[in-house]
Amino acid sequence: MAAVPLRALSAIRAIWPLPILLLLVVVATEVAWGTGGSVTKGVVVTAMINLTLVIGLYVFVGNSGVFSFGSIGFALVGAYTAALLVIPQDQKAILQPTLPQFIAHAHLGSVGATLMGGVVAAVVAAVLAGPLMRLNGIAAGLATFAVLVIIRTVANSWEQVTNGAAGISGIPPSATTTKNEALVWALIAILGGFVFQSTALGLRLRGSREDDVAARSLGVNVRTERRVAWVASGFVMGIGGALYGQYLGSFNADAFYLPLTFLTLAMLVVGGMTSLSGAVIGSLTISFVAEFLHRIESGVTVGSLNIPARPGLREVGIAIIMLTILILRPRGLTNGRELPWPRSRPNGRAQRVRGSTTEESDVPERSGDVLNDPG
Amino acid sequence: MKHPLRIVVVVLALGGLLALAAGGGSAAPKKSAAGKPIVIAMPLALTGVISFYDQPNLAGAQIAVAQINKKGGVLGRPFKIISADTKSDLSLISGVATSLLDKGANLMIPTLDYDFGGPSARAANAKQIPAISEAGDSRFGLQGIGRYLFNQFPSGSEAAIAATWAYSKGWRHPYVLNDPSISYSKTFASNFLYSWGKLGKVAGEDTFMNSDQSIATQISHLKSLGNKVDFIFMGSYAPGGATATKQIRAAGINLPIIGGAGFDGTFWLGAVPNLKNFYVVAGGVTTGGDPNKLRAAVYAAYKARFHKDAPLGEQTLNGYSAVYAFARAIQRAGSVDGPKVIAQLEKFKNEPLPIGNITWTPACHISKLRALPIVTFVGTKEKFVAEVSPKASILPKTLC
Amino acid sequence: MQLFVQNLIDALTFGSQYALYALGIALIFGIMGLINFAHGELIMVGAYTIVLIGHPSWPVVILGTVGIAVIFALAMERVAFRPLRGASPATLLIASFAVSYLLQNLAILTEGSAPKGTSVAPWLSESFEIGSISIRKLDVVTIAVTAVLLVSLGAFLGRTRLGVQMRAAAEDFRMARILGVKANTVIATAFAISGLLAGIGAYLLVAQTGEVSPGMGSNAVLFAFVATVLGGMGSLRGAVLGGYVFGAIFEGLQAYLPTSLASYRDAFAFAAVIAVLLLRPQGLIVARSVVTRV
Repeated sequence: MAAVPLRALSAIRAIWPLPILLLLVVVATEVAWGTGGSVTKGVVVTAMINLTLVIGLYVFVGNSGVFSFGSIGFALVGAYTAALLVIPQDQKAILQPTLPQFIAHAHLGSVGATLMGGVVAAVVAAVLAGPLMRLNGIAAGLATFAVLVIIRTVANSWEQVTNGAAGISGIPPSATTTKNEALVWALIAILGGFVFQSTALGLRLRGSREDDVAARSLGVNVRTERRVAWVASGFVMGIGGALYGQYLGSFNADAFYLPLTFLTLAMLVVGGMTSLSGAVIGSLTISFVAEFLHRIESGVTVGSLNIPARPGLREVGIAIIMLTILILRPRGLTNGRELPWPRSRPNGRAQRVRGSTTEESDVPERSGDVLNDPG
Repeated sequence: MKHPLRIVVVVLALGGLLALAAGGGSAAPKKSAAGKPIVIAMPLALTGVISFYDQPNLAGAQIAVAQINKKGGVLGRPFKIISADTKSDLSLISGVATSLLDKGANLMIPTLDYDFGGPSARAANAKQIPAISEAGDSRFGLQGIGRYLFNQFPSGSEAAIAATWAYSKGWRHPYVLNDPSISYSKTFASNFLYSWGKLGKVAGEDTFMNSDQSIATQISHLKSLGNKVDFIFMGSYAPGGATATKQIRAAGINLPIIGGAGFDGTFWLGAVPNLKNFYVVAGGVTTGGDPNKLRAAVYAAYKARFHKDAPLGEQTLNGYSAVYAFARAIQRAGSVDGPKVIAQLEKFKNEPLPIGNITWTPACHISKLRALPIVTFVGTKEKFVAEVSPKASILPKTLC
Repeated sequence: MQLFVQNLIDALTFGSQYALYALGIALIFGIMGLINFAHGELIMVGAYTIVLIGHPSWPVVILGTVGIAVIFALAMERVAFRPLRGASPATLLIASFAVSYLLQNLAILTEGSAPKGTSVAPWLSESFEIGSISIRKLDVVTIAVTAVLLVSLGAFLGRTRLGVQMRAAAEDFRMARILGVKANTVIATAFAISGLLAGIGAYLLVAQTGEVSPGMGSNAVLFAFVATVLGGMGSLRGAVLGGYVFGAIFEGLQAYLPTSLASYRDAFAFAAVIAVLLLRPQGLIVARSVVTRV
């Protein structure tokens, strides 16, 4: 008879991180939106978009353990796709007269365009998945970086479709990503990421992350699992990119290159690369810290305390804070685990939540391993 | 395991601090008894990679405002500039611009660039606030952004001016170096190819990226063309363009080189000491001695106030001229009301401003036919060469 | 034909530059498993030193450049990487991003974002003319310097006590420590050497380009990263070979791509990189310590 409530309890515990994360995101967004001026409001929308991108990154990098420098390339693909669909025909005729007919005449609303952005990005990811997922470790990292460069170069040079280095303009104000849109998509991304990692495929992939050899010996086809994760990741990145492009209103390939790559990777690792909670918390934390520093930067009076203006504080401050967080918690703020079930009895008994990681030992790149204490 | 929940608390606490900071950060504009200030919003990149370009823009505007206020302002009201930092961050620009506009701005001078100034210009346009700046991209104007934006640069014509002048010097066989790394230089090069195509043939063409540290291959190609080439056209900008110039001269090639606004200023000359035979289209003689009195006065005023030469000729003139353009339009309209001001701006016909003789019409807010100066270098100084307007028949197609 | 020979020579010189940067990255990776993206900022800092130091005699300039780069390298190690010893490769990587970002922005704050022009050792830009082939003196010097550095590093690692300890640490850090190797000394020395390499690279880079800017290190470090991985992570000879291979690919495309495709040069170059990786995922030269069992 104790079996039934126990099963219900463990089911609740299994999905426990999800509602907490969703709630956290909603509360953080609404509080920041309500108490900020125009600049902060813009930052809130950007933060939600970055959150979506980081989740996209997590779906592949976090689950497989393979580092990807190229995922922002899929965001670029999504952004251009959505933009070309959402800009009204007459604007396209004026600004990009050389577009092929089927693109010049295509038109979708913002939601449809965003979804198509995800789909096209996923298709590009699928095409690349075959060759790329044969690689491991550093080689995979370099290969994904090569993908980023290739996508960017094509975007900058394919004048007929992308308008080359001049970029796309003319996204109508009605399509500009609003706070609610960005928030809803971010919540969907969190839900999607959670579902993905809880499926059998997600679990097998995470197993291969921990020990590639053991997983393969158990019959896990690591390459296939990775390919699926790569395509899923591409889809989410495409959505995030589509949202960002529509937020900017006018953009070129520079908006989707190294700075955004480093930012999203940093958000993931600082939060904790191996858990969805890490992706969410890392993203929110860095967004908050950046905006906090930005406010102080222009000089601020808090009560009777007057802080003078310090331009450049935001950039320097973010770098220092990121380093500090990593030094204090090398596995990220969440230690690479999901938000755990709160312990009712503090007697040292470790509670494990289904889907969280065990003590990580990241697969070493080399046979030697560097120890964790000062020599 | 309280740590993750502690993190949640910290994150929310940070949000609370943010709210506190937000409350303390805004400043209410003061109203003076005599004349309520006419507020010019300048959302600029005061930090970050673009800051170098926006600082002279702001400086020029500040000088103009000081001069006009000294003479009693416009309609008895002083100008006042409010600026905020866009941090060279694309995602921040429209928010920063909107926040300045919300403080009651009447006018705007955004960043001198389509990518970094466009979002600000759009924000101004949405609120019917007149905005004046420059950009080489012809989307920076009525068709690309809106009725309330005016572009002081002859977008699309910069290359045609280079072609017109080169042709007038008797040069006939250009070697074109195309730097497609940013839209400005890519368009500059492709416009030149189009314009020169109406005048003659191109002897050779090569591409290089601004971040390339060596153009040895391109130079080998250029050398192999021997005396089939009589001048070099460089569709690039500093620093990569400066590196290319250095390597070309070091290879013993002393042919004339023509560049554009990407080479404005003397900051990059250290790479090629005593550079000769290099011609820059746009800007002005920032080191003194500009025969154009209006430009010379601006640069002299800059030097008097900041004790050094203006670092960039075009940007300094942009901020300064925009302020004067606003002043005249407001004077003629008798009001600061947006629609009335732009009606006056659209009547500018060869209006003599330091940046050039500006013509705007209700159909086109780009002064396509105005002249640009050609400047060369002597040691570390600049020297005026010619004032050139583009030959109308070789102009490429632009948005208006 | 002579254009082809000229292009061949140009390819060699491209490759030497990337090889020099790659050596710095490969050395640190071999010891610590860290791809130090902040290596580019070591080059940047060295380059700015050249601009700011004025015009004393060239040995002073080189000493100053290398000295500053080494100081920054040691500081970086002490402040950012030592506390992270033993952390996962991902954490180390992001830490190096953070250091890189910090230094770039500090440079913009203190020196401004405008590029600065400077002329260093102008005689290096002169060329030897052999028939109708030009070889820049700078290119000869770069190839020579890279060769000397590679040989010296090999000798250092193979023959000196400290060098042998470094190789031991690279193969099996735990065992090396048990045997008495001082981790701090070994790693600090590795960083100091990478600073030396960065400083020399900076001098040659500024002699060639004449310009410095806050972001100038990014490009160098990305090419170094490509060269190192192509050549075989952890192998110094591999890094140099990777530099030459990548340089050849790049230069070949630059010379022989038709004009209509010229702006796609980087796309072709990196597609070639992917192809090489698919053919040889561990890189061209496999370092002994990198062999995986399965």
